[in-house]
Order: sequence, then structure tokens, then C-alpha cells
Amino acid sequence: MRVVVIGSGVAGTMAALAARKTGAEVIAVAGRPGASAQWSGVVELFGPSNEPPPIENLLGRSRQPEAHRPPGIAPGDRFERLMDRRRFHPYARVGLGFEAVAGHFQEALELADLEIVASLSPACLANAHGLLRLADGCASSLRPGLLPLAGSTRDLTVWGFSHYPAFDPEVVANQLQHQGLAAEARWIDLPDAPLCQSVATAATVLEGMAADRLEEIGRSIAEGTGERVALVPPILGRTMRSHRSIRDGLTQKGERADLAELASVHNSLHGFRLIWELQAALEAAGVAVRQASVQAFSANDRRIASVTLDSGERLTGDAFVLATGRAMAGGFQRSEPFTETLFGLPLYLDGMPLDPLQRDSATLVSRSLVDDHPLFRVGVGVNQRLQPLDVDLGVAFDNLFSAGGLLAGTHFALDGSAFGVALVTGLLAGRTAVEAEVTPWV
Amino acid sequence: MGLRSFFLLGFQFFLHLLRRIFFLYRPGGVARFLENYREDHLFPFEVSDRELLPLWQRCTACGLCEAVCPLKEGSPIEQGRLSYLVLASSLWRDTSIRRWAAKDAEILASCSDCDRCEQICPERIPLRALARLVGSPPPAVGGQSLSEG
Ligand SMILES: Cc1cc2nc3c(=O)[nH]c(=O)nc-3n(C[C@H](O)[C@H](O)[C@H](O)COP(=O)(O)OP(=O)(O)OC[C@H]3O[C@@H](n4cnc5c(N)ncnc54)[C@H](O)[C@@H]3O)c2cc1C
Ligand code: SF4
Ligand code: SF4
Repeated sequence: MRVVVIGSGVAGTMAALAARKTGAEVIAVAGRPGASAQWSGVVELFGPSNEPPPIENLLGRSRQPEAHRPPGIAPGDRFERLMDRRRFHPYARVGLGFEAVAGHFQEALELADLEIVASLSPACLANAHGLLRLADGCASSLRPGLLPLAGSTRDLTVWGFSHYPAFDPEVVANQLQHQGLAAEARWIDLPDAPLCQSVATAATVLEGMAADRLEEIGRSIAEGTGERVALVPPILGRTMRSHRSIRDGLTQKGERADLAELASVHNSLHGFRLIWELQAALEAAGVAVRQASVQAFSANDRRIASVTLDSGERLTGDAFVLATGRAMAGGFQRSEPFTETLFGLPLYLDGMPLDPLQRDSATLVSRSLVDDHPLFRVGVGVNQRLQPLDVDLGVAFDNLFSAGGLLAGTHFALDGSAFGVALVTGLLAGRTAVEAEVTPWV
Repeated sequence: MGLRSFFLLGFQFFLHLLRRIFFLYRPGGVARFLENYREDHLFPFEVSDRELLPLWQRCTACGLCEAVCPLKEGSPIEQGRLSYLVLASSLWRDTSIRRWAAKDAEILASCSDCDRCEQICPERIPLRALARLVGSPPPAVGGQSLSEG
């Protein structure tokens, strides 16, 4: 039994690991990084509250002058609302209820052994603009910054680094105060460090620092923070390894001050760390990885026989998982023909296939930036077993399964469930791909 | 109404013919372009650059190119400014700020051509070609250079 997984973002990696766990031989074709490399550090799983509109948070400008903490709606209720609003949500297509999603999420985290934690009670997290986002989980570097939605929260000290002036702790602390939190701002002065304009450069400066210098900075942070929680911009290291050593230096291996990175706004080291973690997880599990992109496929009689890589290699397989992400990662075309890229699968919108000749991406956006653009819920339509559908609503290929951002039915930013969809459908697609061979679907 | 428009159009065409016959048009080409657009710091592209332009403009400012570039390790002051992100994401939305990137282009001259940035870019942007263009001296045509001014 051999499974070929196309794409290795969050969804593809989960599929590969799940298939591998059953003992199958798995080959993952890893293209360039996609949306997973831009993940801002917050796990969204059960859907959003309705206000404030998360898209405005993502854009870093909340319209309400007096923004409040997101209302403390129980995750189960958020999930119900999401299912009501998005009848073709991937969770609904597969028939998952709240408990099932929560269970699969835990399973996925354990399987991949990622540096991600689930929030145990309803919580939110601040991003580098000081705006609060609901969080069903987060990168472990954000954990001490999880703020419970009910009851009182700890006071916060926001720290800026003088070599990275793009992040202004005063602005962030102000924003947090607006939202009813006790926050103050402090600066770490690094007079001899070069000024940096990007998160990546700012991180390299910290990576290049001697251990005793980090210790010294850590001491000032601990003294200035006291009993509060220290929030720092998300620049502590480009990889998980360098992150750990910087963090150990600053907190003396966790002895000093509760220190949390903020969720990132644009270009994200959380995402950058994540893609290396995913790659390491694949290697550890014994999945064969090809750094290449799939260019073509051959099929006979509704079964895919093989795919061909740009390196010229041909990979045969018994089952195939398509996890190529949205248009940015190359999963579907932006212009003509407006279809899925590799297999030419039709794109679905709200349960119906779109005519690729009649519609293209431009016809599916509306004027206002913050609208619920239909384009963002377009994707590959699947049945209950995550098999992509053809124009006639029937299964396109018997041994093809799909997962992640590519799936139709949910808006990756507004719906507050994108990371959850990638983890959960990835896990299930990998599993179903193997099962399908054992018990043919009738 | 329609008739009058046609008259006007006919008259313009007549003027055009006259100008053509008596060479009243000013010479065009790069010199005229320079005269018109110098103030805006726009510069004429080679055909090959023009073909690359839409590729450069696809940058989503994800920052991955910067995060993998080894040029910045142990960065001295100037190297802290190295930014493909700035080059790719903002420069090509507004070509008039090209000269702001001159410093970046200088640093990129020490690029080791390891190709990591292009390998990781989700949008497949030919970044090294972009750096070469920005680093190259601005075109000087007919004794005029665009770099000053
Ligand atoms: C800026 C940004 C911020 C986000 N922040 C959050 C957040 O805070 N919380 C949250 O829950 N969600 C967030 N998301 C959404 C979440 O990151 C994505 O929904 C999720 O990562 C999608 O994972 P994926 O594996 O389906 O797709 P991707 O990560 O896009 O992976 C697809 C992969 O397929 C590969 N591929 C494509 N075509 C081919 C081919 N022909 N051959 C081989 N490989 C191919 C691509 O190279 C890519 O690596 C964010 C998304 C973005 C863009
Ligand atoms: S090719 Fe040059 S600019 Fe690109 S990553 Fe390598 S050294 Fe950096
Ligand atoms: S990797 Fe490509 S898309 Fe991302 S910032 Fe760099 S040039 Fe832009």
C-alpha cells in the first residue's frame, strides 16, 4: 500500500503522518511553502465570535474605538453558529460534531508532536498590534499570554526592543488598555545592535547574541515585569531551535518571568518555525519527502495511477491525497481556467460547482475590503470521505482524497477555523486514503 | 450632436495629416520619455525587465525570502537593512521609490547566489534578477542620466 501526498503544509503533513501511522508506505511531495508558512501563531478551530470582525483585527485596525475583549461565548456555541452560517463547511461535509473536532484536534497534535498547545478554557491572545483574537490553541511560545475570557486576567508588561522600532510597545499597551486589560509598556535598550526593519532581521540579531548578554536582558525583563506577564514581539528566533535557546537565555530556562511572544501580524516567524517543524515530523515518521512540485498525472478509469514531478520522477501509488492549499500556494488557479490546478477539478461555491468559463476570481469579490467575499469560500467540493467531486456531484477519482485550505465551504480568515480544518481534515484524509483500499467504498 | 462629433474628429485627423506632412511632431523615444517623466523618477525598462515586472509585482510580503537569506548572519549595521521584502513588495508598486532601495541593492551585490530566497518564494519571484536591476546604474540615454534629480 503506497500513499502519495501532494503538498506538505499543515494539511498534507497531517495526512502523510496519519497514513504512515497505519503502516502504509508514504511519499510526500513538498512544494514551496504556502499559507502554513504565514500562520500567525493562533490556532483557530471552533469558529469566531461574531464581533469584532476578525478581518479587521487581521488588518490591524479595529473600527470600534472602544474595542472589548471578545465575548466569552463557549466554544460549543461558537461551533454551532459556524455550522449554521456555513452549511458546506468541511467539518459539516465530513459530518463532524463539536466533540469529534475537539478529539481529532488533540489526536493531530499528538501525532505530529508540534510545538502547539490547546487552550484549556475559552481564551484570547493579543497580536503585535495589541488586538485580541480568540484562540482555541496557540504556538507554545505564546502560551503564557493566553488570556481567559471569563474572570480576571493577569496584568501585562509589553516590551519593545530598541533595534526593532517597527514594534512600539506603547501603542500595543494602549490598545490592550482599550480592551479593558491592565498593560504597561517598557523598552529594552540595545544601543549597539543594528536597526532592523523586518522580523527576520530582528530575529537574527538576537540569534547572534552571546548567552550572557541574553541573560542580562532577561534580568532586566524579569525586574521590570515582576509578577506580571511579559509580552514581547514575535522575533525570538527564526527556527524552533534558536527560539528555544533565546528563550532559555531570557528566562533562565523558565526560572524567571512569564514571557510570551505576541501573535504576529504580517510576515510571521511562527509560520516559518512551523514549516521546519512539519518537515522534521515527516522525517521522524519515516515519510519519504520529495522537494518538488507535481506537474502531471495519469489515470485510467477513474483511478489515478501516477503523478509526475517537475524533476521528471514518476510516482505510482494506490491512493493520493491532494493538499495543495489555496490559490497562493498553487492549489487552484487565479485566472482561466478557474479550476483546481493539477487535476482540473471544478471549484465549488456553497454546494454547487462553478462554471470555469463563466466565473473567475474577479467575479467573486465585492467592493469592500472587509466583506465576506465568496472567493474565499470557493474550493474543491468533497463528499463525506473527503473525495473530490466532479461537475456532476459524483466522485472524480476513486483513489483521490483532499484536505486543508483547498476545500470549499469556509473563509480562511473570517470563519476562525482555518488551522483546525487543515489539521483535522488532513488527519482524516490520510486515514481514509488507507482505509479506502482495505474496504472499497460502495 | 453625432454629426458635430464627426466634424471634430475629421478636423483633428486633418490637423494630424498636416503635422505629419510638415514634420511638426517633436521627436519621441527615450529622450521625450525622460523629459516627461524625469521628475517622477520613472525609468524606462528594457523589454526583458518589462516582462519580469508583473512577476515582481506578485510579492505578498510574506517575508520568507528574508528569513532564509544567509547574508544577514552576524549582521553589521547596513546588512540589517537588507530587504528583498522592501524591494519586491513595495518598490514595484511604485517605481519612483527605486532610489530608496539603492542601499539594499549594494548589500545584495555581496549575494552568494545560493538561490535560497528564490527557492522558498511562494510566488516564484525572480529575486536575483530584481536585485541586479535595482543595483545596475540607471539608464543614461542621450547624455542624460536618471540617477541624479
Ligand atoms: C497570512 C495568513 C495568516 C494565517 N493565520 C492563521 C491563524 O492565525 N490561525 C489559523 O487558524 N489559521 C491561519 N491561517 C490559515 C492557515 O494557515 C491555513 O488555512 C492552513 O495553513 C492551510 O494549510 P494547507 O496545508 O491546507 O495549505 P498550505 O500551507 O498552503 O500548503 C499547500 C502546499 O501545497 C504545495 N503545493 C501546491 N501545489 C503543488 C504541486 N503541484 N505539487 C507539490 N506541492 C504543491 C504548496 O507548495 C504548499 O506547500 C492564516 C493564513 C494566512 C495566509
Ligand atoms: S541568493 Fe543571495 S539574496 Fe538570495 S538567499 Fe542566497 S545570498 Fe541571500
Ligand atoms: S518570498 Fe517572495 S512573496 Fe515572500 S516576501 Fe519574498 S519576494 Fe515577496
